[in-house]
Amino acid sequence: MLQLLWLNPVLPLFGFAALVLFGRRISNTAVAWISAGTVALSAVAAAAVGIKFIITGRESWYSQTLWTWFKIGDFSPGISFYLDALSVVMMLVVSFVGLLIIIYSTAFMAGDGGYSRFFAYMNLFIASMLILVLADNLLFLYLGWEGVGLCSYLLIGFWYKDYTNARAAIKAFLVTRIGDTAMAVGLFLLFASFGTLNINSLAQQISNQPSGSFLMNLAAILLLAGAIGKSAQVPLQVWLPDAMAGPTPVSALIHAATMVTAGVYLIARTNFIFIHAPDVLKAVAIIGAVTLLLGGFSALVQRDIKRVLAYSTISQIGYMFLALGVGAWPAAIFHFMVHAFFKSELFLCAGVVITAVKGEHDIFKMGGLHRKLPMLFWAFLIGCASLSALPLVTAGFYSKDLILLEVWESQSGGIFLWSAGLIGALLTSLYSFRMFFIVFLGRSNSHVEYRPNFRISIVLTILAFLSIAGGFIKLPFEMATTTHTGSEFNGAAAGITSLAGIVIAYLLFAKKRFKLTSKYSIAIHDLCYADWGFDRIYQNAFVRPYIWLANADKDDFIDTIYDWLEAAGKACSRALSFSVNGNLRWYAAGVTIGSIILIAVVILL
Amino acid sequence: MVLFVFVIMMLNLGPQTAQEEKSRLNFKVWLGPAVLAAILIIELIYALTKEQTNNFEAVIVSAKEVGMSLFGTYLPMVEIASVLLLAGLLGAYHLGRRVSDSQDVRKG
Amino acid sequence: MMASIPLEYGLGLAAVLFSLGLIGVLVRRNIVFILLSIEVMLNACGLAFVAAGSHLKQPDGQVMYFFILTMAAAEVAVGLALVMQMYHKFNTLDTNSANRMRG
Repeated sequence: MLQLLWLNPVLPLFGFAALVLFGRRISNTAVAWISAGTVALSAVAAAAVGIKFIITGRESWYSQTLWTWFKIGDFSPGISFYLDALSVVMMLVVSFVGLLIIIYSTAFMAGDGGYSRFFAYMNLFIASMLILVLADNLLFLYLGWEGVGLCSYLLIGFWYKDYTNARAAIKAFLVTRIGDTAMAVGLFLLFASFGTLNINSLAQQISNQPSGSFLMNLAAILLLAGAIGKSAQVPLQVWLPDAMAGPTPVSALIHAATMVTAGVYLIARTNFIFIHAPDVLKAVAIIGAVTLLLGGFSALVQRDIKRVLAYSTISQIGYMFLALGVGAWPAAIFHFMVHAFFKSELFLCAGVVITAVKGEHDIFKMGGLHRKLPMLFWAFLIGCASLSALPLVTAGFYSKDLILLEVWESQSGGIFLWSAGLIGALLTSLYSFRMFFIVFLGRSNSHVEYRPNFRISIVLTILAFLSIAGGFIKLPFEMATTTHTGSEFNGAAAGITSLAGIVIAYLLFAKKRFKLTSKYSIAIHDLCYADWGFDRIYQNAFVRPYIWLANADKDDFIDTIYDWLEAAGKACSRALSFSVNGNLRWYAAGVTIGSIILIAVVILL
Repeated sequence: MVLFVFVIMMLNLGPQTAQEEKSRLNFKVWLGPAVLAAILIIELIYALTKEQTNNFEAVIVSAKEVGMSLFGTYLPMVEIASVLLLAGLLGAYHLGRRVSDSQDVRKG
Repeated sequence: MMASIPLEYGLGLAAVLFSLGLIGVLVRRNIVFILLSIEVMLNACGLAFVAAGSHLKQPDGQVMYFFILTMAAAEVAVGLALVMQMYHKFNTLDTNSANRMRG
């Protein structure tokens, strides 16, 4: 049964190939069936492999090699898949959440001109993500890494005819590229030092290394840079809010559930490197803490519903990084799983809401939707509750509570990181329920007549159920049970914080809207709105000088060579066009001259 | 050669055309072609006188021999020549049609 | 019995005729004259063939002239048809007026 592992990444790849070759010529229904069908089969394979792996539980890992990719000298990475507890969880989450989002998209994207193109890209994305999480060696992982980056670019800029979407896609690709390059250098370093990129071999070799050496620190920093880029952490988080220009299912799948968690997966997978570089690990925690606060503050003041969710994603991944930074690998992955459920549900609900109010993204222009869209009201409520970690009911509570507990109990954690996490929890419930109250309660501002499609409703229901029940699933980690809340003080603190956030949000946003009056608070508001000025800093520090340099270099000396070539060609053309003047006798004279020359050649030779 | 006479008669080219043609034959026009032709003649005569051939007897080949050769050895070529004449006939007929006629014809 | 004429004289005559025809093609502007000059050139070639054939005591030279004449007839027919078309289009027989295929 475990031999079916290779089907999991390969089936969506078949779907991609079929859609690329035939997608234009077959009907939309056929496209939907091919795409959803291959991903569904892949999810079935994932379920079969996962159940077998979890139930038998005898061996702790399983590896399946398809073939050797290439062989240069001693280096021969293989196309091989590696299954252990970590990748089982990732594979199941990616496959099933991906399947649900694709089913949602078949209804959501109906009527779009690029229907087959969309599903081809989605299939390629799911295949690349599965390759990423199942890869046996870091080179194969990097292949999946690049693949998801490419699909992210293609899907953000899906409606490429609008120039802002294309710019957002380029921005996302460039910023993640910075991280990718650093990660590539890290891979080179690892290969040069240890001669292999196979994860198991690396783990064995590195366990003999002293910790804290320069090599370990450097490799860890480079891999961390790659993770920061892909997961949109400070300082490379600027691409994620603009990436909301893509269609909503794209935001749900790529920028909430899967691709942005690739960095978390990378650090969890190569944790042996980070364990041997404790300073870098501390930096991971600090980055996580800073990011979750930045994301929380920025999400509090946004107007666009998708941007609120984007900053919320940045903040929640900050929680995962915080957990990784204190060494709590299972907690981070648990939070990833629960976050995938409720964040994708929130994004999908946002997509339905935007469709219902006919393309309006500003939450202050929506309102009173709870009577018009009752099912969405409940779905969104459950999603927000899970995001805010409502105590004891939602899955989000268990994961976030576990992270805070681990932070409190770790040696390198300390009180500062724990309070940062707690403030972040307050902010989370504050901004999520601000969004919920403004959109759904109050007077309705717009006329809505929209009933969601049956498929959309089913998907939202399933995800809502998972957002609640996901906390009770036992995971095959070394976690005892997930209802373990540790010290009661921690649990109580987390619960009270989230409830307090809900109450404050209700007071502030549900009844009346208050305006900021003092200049000081308006300045802070604008700073948070503009993502703490990161965009402007990057624009002035990097983008402007580069454009100036490119403009100054426009007519350099290499260009003059080509200009001269062009001028020479034009001159020859002008000269030769004298001989084509349409005059018959001129042509006859030409023939004569030619024959003279020929006869002369014959005579003289 | 009779065709030339026919064409000139049809197009009504009278002495006026000859006058025009003559007026254009000034010295400047003659210069270039004369030079080219002179070079050509010099080359050809040089090629001819380079090698000394024996003075053969100039034998008159009788018409009987020519006829036998035509209908014997070169019979296929005679057939091909007839095909060539047929092609020339068709080409001349088609190309000689007036433009107003060809507009009513669908097939080329 | 004729006196033996060296081959070079016969071929030389053909060469001179050819050049005269060539001058005619290059100088004349009326297309009928150009066609006439081309006829002269063709006949010069035929003369060369006949002279060579007579020297080699074979009938092949005269056979070749036969075919050259056939070809000349066909070509004149087609050429004169084109001359007629040109006259209808341009109303003149000047070759300088048919220069629309300029480079």
